[in-house]
Amino acid sequence: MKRIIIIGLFFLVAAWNAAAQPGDSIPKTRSHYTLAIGTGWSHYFANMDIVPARNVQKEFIGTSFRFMWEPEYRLSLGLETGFYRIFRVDSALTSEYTMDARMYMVPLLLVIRMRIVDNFYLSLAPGIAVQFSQIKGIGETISSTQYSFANFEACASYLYPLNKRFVIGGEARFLYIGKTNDYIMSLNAVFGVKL
Amino acid sequence: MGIMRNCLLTLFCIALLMAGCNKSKEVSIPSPGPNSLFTETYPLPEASRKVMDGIYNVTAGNELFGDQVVLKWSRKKLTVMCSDGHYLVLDVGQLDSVIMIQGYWRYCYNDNTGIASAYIARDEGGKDIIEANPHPGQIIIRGGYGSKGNEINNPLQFVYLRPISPSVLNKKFSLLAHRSGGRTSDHLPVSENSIAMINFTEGLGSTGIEIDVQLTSDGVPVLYHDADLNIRLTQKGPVSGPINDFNYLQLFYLVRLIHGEHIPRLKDALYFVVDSTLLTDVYLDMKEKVPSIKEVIPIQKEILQRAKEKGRDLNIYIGLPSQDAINDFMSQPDYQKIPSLCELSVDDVVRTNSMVWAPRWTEGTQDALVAQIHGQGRLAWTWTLDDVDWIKEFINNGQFDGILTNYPFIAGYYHYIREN
Repeated sequence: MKRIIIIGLFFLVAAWNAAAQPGDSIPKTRSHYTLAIGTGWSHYFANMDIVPARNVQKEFIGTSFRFMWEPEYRLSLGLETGFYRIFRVDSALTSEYTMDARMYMVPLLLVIRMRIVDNFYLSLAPGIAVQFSQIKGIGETISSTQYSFANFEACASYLYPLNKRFVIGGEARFLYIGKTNDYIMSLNAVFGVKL
Repeated sequence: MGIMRNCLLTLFCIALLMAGCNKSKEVSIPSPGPNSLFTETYPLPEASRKVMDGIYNVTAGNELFGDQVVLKWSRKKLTVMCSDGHYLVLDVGQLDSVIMIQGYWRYCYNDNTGIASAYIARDEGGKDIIEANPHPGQIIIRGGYGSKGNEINNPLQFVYLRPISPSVLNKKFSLLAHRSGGRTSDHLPVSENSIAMINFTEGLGSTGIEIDVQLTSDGVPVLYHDADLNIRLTQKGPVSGPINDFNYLQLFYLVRLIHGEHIPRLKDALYFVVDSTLLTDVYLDMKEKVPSIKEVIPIQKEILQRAKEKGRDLNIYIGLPSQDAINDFMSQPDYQKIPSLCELSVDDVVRTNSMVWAPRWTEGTQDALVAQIHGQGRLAWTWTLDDVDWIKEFINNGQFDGILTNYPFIAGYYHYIREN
C-alpha cells in the first residue's frame, strides 16, 4: 500500500511540475564553471545492531570538493568527491580482546543543483563510493576496500559572492551509503572560485 | 509558488529514495502462546509417528493447501507438503488418546503465514497412532488455521488416503536444501549457512543440505555465501569487506548473521549434522575466491569417520564447480578416493571419480547422460530448482536422484506422492 501511495504521489507531482514554468524573476548569469572546497563537522548516525551507539565515535571532520557547470539557468550539473571518516569503534570485546574498527569513505557523486533563490541552492547527488575499513585487534590488522554503488546525497547550500570570482558560504548535507546502510550529515564552510 | 513546488518536488524525491532503501520486512512465525493446551501433551513415540506419514485428502482448507497433501515426519516436526508452495510445520503430542497438533503454515513465494491447530480424536485414528498400528483404518485431522495473529478462523481437515508408497520410501532420492537449509531472503526465522538453519531445515522436509564454504585468512573453512560481509546476510556492525580478509576469531567476535548467529566453522556445522540431525547428504559448495579444498578434506574425513562410528548413513561431497577446482582437487593425494560432486561434464565426473554428477537444471533432464551416470554406479543431482512446474517435470519425467532447491517441501510433495 505504501508503495502504491508513493507511486501515485510521484505521478501527481510530476504532472504538476510538467506545467509551463512561470516567468523567472531571478537574474540570469552567464554560463561558467566553479570549483568549491568545503570542510567542517560531520556526524555519523550510529545504527549498528551489534555495537551500542554509545561505543561508537560519531563526530569527525569531513571535506568535500565540487566541480560544477553552471549554465544561465536554475539547474547546474557537476561532480563531487570528498573524504569522510564515517565511524570509529574502540572497545573491549572480552577481557582478552579489544577492537579498533574505523571506516572512511570517498564518494564520487553526480550533482544536480537548483538555485532556489539568490545564493541559496538545493542539490541531489547519486553516485558511487569507495569505502575503506581498518580493523585492529584479534590478530593482525585488516585493511579492506569495498565499493558502494547506490549512494545518495541531499545538500542545501548558501553561497555568498565576495566578488565576481570568489564565493564563500556554508553547506548542510545528508549522505546515505547503500552498501553498508550508513548515514552521515555534515555542516561545511565552503570556499569557491569561478573558473 | 514556483519555489514551493520545487522544494516539494525535491523533498518528495528524497522521500521516494529513502523509502526504496527500507530493509525488507521481517516475517515472524506465529505462535499460539504460553497458554496453549499443547504444553500438557507428551511426545509421540517414533513408531507412532510413522503411522501418520502418508497422503491425505484435504476436505477443508483446499483454498490454501490444495486437494491433496503429503504428511511426513522428520526428526522432530511433522511437515505438511502441498503442491503449490504452501507448507505447514507442526508439533505433535498426545494427551490421553487424542493427538494434538499445532504449528504454523507458510507460503514460500511471499510472506503469507498463519497459525494452525488441529487434533485427531481417539476414534478417528488417535488410537491407531498411539498403538502404532501400521494399517490405520482411518485418520481424520480436524482443526483450523488463521492468517492474522493468533486467530484461527478457517476450518482445516485432512483425511488419510494412503501411505507413502514403499517403493518411493525405499528409493534413494535426496531433497537437498540450499544454503544449509534455506535462504535468508525467504524470510525464514534463522539465518542461512548457520547451525540454527541446519537444525531447522528438516522441518521443511529436507533430507540433505548444500552449504557454502569459504576460507578465513587464517585457513579456517567457514560457512558463508557472499564474497563480502554485508547487510544482506549479517547484522549491521563495524566490520565489512571481503570475508577472506578476516581471521576466524575476528568473524566470531565482530560479525553476527542476520538473526544473530555466529558464522560457523565447517567443522562445527558438520559435527552438528552427524550428531544432531538425520540428514543423509551434505554438498559442500566450495567458493573459489580462495581455494579451500586442501583444508576441507581432513574435516570431511574426520566427520565421515565419526558418522561411521555412530552407524550414521551420511555422505559428504566436496563440490567441484569449475576446472580450477578440479585441478586443485586432482592435485590432492588419493583424490580418487575422496567423495566429491562434479558440476561439469560427465567426462570430468569420470576423471575426478566423483560419486555425484550435478548439472544445473536449465540443461534439462538429460536422460541419456543420467542413464550413463547411473550405469557407472554414480548419482545424478540437479540444482537449484525452485519453480513448481519444473520441479514436477524433473521428478515425474526425469531420472535424477536428488534435487537441490530452496523449497524442499515442494520437491517432497511431488516425490512422496508418486505411486512407484
